[in-house]
Amino acid sequence: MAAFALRRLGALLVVLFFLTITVFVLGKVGDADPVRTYIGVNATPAQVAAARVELGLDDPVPVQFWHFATGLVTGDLGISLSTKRPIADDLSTALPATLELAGAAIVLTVIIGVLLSALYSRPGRVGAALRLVFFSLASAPTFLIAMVSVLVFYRWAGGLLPAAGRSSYGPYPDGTGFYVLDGLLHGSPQYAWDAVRHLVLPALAASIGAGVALARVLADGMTSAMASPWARTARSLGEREGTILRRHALRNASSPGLSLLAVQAGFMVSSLVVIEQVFSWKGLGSYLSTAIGVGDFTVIATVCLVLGTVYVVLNTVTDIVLAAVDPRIRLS
Amino acid sequence: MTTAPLALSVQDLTVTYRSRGRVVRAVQDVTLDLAPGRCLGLVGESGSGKSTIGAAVQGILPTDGSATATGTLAIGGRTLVPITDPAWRQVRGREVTTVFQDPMRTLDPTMTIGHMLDRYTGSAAASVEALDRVQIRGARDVLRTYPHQLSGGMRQRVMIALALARGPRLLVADEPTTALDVSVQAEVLRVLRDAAEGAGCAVLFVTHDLGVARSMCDEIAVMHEGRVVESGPADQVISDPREPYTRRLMASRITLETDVTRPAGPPDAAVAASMADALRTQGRDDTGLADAWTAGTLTWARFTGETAAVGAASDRTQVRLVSRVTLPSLSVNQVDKTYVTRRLGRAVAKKVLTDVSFEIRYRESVALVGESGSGKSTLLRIAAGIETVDSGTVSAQGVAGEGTQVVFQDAGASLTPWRTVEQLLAERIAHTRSGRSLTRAAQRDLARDTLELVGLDASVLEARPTQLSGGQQQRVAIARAVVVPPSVLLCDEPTSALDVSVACSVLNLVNLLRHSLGISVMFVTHDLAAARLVADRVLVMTEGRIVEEVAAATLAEDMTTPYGRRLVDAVLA
Amino acid sequence: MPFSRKATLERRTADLAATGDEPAATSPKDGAWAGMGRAERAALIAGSLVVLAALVGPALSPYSVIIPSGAPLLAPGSAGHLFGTDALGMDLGTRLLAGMQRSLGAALAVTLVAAVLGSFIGVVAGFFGGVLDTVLMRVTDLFLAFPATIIAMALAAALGQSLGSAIVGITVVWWPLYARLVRGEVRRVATLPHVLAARVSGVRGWRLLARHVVPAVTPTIAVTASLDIGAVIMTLAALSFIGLGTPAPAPELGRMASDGMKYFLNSWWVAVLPSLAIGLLAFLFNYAGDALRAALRRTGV
Repeated sequence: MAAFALRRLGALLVVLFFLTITVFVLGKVGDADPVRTYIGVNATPAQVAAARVELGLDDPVPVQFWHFATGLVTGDLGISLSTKRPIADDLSTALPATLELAGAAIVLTVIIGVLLSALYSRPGRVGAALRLVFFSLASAPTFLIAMVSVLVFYRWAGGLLPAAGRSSYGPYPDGTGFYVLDGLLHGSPQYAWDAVRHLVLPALAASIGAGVALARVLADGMTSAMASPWARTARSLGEREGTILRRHALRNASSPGLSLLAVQAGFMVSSLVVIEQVFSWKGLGSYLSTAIGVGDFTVIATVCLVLGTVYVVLNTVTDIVLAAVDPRIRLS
Repeated sequence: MTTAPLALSVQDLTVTYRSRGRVVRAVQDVTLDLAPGRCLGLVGESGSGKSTIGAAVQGILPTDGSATATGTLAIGGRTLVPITDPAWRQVRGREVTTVFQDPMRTLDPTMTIGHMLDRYTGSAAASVEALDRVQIRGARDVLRTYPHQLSGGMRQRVMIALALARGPRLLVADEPTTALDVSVQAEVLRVLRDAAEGAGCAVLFVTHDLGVARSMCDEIAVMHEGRVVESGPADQVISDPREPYTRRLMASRITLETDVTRPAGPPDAAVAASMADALRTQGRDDTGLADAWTAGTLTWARFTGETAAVGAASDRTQVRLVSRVTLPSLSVNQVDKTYVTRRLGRAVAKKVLTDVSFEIRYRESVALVGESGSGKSTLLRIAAGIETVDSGTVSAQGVAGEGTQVVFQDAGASLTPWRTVEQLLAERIAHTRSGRSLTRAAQRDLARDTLELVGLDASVLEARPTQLSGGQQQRVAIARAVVVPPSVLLCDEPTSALDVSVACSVLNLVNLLRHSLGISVMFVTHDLAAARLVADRVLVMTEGRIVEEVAAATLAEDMTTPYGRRLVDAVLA
Repeated sequence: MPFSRKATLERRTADLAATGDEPAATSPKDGAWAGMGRAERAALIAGSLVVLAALVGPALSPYSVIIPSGAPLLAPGSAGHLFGTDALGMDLGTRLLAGMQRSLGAALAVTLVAAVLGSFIGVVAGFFGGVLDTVLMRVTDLFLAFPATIIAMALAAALGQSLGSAIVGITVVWWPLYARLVRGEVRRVATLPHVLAARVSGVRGWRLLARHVVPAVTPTIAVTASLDIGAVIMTLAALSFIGLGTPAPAPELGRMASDGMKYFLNSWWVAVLPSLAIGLLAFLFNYAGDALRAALRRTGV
């Protein structure tokens, strides 16, 4: 088991290395001109030359990569070409915002998945209608769900839930950046509750599609588990359906569910970019969209790298957890 | 004096299935009685209704309206309405339990044996006792293992322990040993009988195998098309069947007593020697240089005796014929084979063949008999060129591609489903040197003639394999293998997936072909009775070695090694 | 007992009623259509109609796709403009159909290229094995370990804002899925008895691959591709929404939706209708793909 975990961690490092190279190379071969983004299109040739030296663009490419890679490791992520602010500073507020939203969305995904999976296999017309609704939800683009939730809970329900921003009060100056946590740490349930209310709509919009997909996998897993020969054995030993479900089927159906959750979490990282834009959530997604708008590839590369790292780490952890949970993987 | 109530009483049970607008009466007016602690065998072919009765007795007939049942069931004197009775919930698992067929999948893979068993025995100590009763040694260790770490026989014992844990009155054993090896079968049956007897539990033993039923049961009921056609004490039903159907069933079984009509054996060595002399006097001793058969040779090989045709055949063909008749068709010399698998990065070596040597002569049939894991199938794959040896040699006579051909176990699966029979045969012809030398028309005739030879109509040519029955598929598979006759036909349990009567005719076909086409046969099987029917010699394999060689005709008497005796006893039991 | 009761029972019935040599109710020859239910057929027909409308609609419409018609800005639906007008006074309905046309074309291109390229690599790696397999699969795995949509974003951003960049970006991250899937399938099929039997009877190399292996894998590829079109449509839309697509006035649904967000509180339909159009396309393709999968499974191809 430990050997397996070590191998997966080794693979993780390899993937991260190649990810870094890929993002770096994309920045080099792309047609975005960093100098123009940095000093504007009207700069004189002398200014351009000075900017090239300042940005290190006259160094040989391997040296540039060395600076880029060592910067990543030491936390010096360079400066934004458009705002001239250090990217690390921007990330220190944007990353917690995105992680808070992502965490809420994953929790909601699990809740939605488990609740809906019970409805997924219902027989008859009701079941068929429910499956059609779920299917539609899974086919809806994230921003459609986001828009509809804003229409329903904000516009038509008279501001029942906030539809923009993270807080009505602004951040704690010395806070962690996780607003709900900040509120609790500073003994202000009111602040925390306000942050939770701001979280509900974006997290819901991010989790409905993933939740429905999870529900389907769980329901399918349950169906095949309940039809399996060992479920028949349990039945012949006098177990009730509910007991078979709890005692046997849940265990057997949980690994495909867990794998899917990891996949969905990967998708979620990218759908958050969209969600943040709709809800004016000042996280990585908004940061990325803004950078795309002005062609600031330094920021784009760094954000992609951060999001990519989150995704890769998540996958590795899932693999290790799966191996730990399933005796067939662990012992064979 | 009051007598104990019957363990099982079935009165006038009729079960009807309705699916896709069709109505199937699976069971009709069946009446059965089973006294406490006794064993009743329910015997029949697939579709006879025996499994439906098994399901009805457990109360697991479908409740969605697709099945209807009339009549009554009583378990331990408690009368139940077949499908709808709410009391099944109390009965199932307490009064009646089941041992199913496939022990590989009937136990939850995510639970340890102890975790499963403790729930029904009440304590770990009681679980140890339960495993003791099914004669599992080292019970404490077994309790900590997961199902996939146990062998098939062990799992089935665990299954029996689970089924008997709460002391039911009735145990339904649904083909419990069909998926197991022969020698393991006998042990598991003994364990099942002893454990059920010890627990005072009656057994309803559902099986297609009359031999197993006889060794296991006190009484037997034979089912056919939903009805019980004959019932009575086991010995009487087996040795003196009254009903025509039972007699037919008994007659189509392949046992060690089945009559063998053996066509003439390998040709007289003297004939071959004189052929060789004749060639040598013509100054031709470059045996083995013949590189292709002509169309005339193929027809010759199929429809006439070889000596008569020697004179008419070309010189090169004569050379080939002589070498073919005098040299061994297949020789296997000191073959070793080890499989290396990787598990979590560690290499695990498993030796599957050790120093295996034997020869198959011209037109001889040799059976390799062994259980799963004995190495017999690996040997077949090596002879077929699918796998390679680690050391030693395997050589078959004949041009490349025409030395060996294989008839696989599952004919349906061995025929590419989207290709027509004609395409499959044409493909084989086109990929051999002999076949390529024929004209298009001759190739088509050859395919047609070969189908006829294996007993199929030429109309089958246009069919796809999925449109054929199991027996027809096996004949097509054989036709493909012999359409260009190989030196050796390798048969991999070609009959184990077929119904008895079909199996018998396929075995006879193999015998017929080797004599009319002049090919040798290597027949791999776990079934001594089939081996005796189809082979001249029998080689017994276990743990990668050939441990014994006997003449097929007298194998029951001649087998001397302990392992060989065990196989014979398992069949005779 | 909410779970699976019905399925369990159906399975049991099937187990018990099976009588051996019974022929299948529909033969594989009848194809997928025969295996479908009424709802599935209806969805397929509706889908074809929507696709048809997207293909010919913009050409038949009296309004231009990219030139403002002089109509009132941000008007709600009316007799003249069925779906209203956008912020520049262009007919929204016409632009929606044109946008769907664009999405469809782009999604089909991505799926086709990814499926063909990935399947080819998968077939070669799976069938020929050895060093070739190792190298191809290492590369594939690396791509798979990458966060697909994020790489697509970075790539599209590097190539500049256009639909073409987005198509390239998504195709680059999509083919490895097919390579992995097809390689696994080919390796599985290659060990099946019918392939072994064909090999023993002398069929080798490309001929064995083409006649005995690939036909077994094609349905899987077709079903996966048809299920993927919906996902590709949604991914393209998401990229377009965050600005990685051709800017206005090109009729791109994702871009139209995000541009419409500026007027969301007063004229929500300007943002919601393009989003709905994407959802409709994705739904139809997902449903059709699902129906195809279920039908093929039932007819046992």
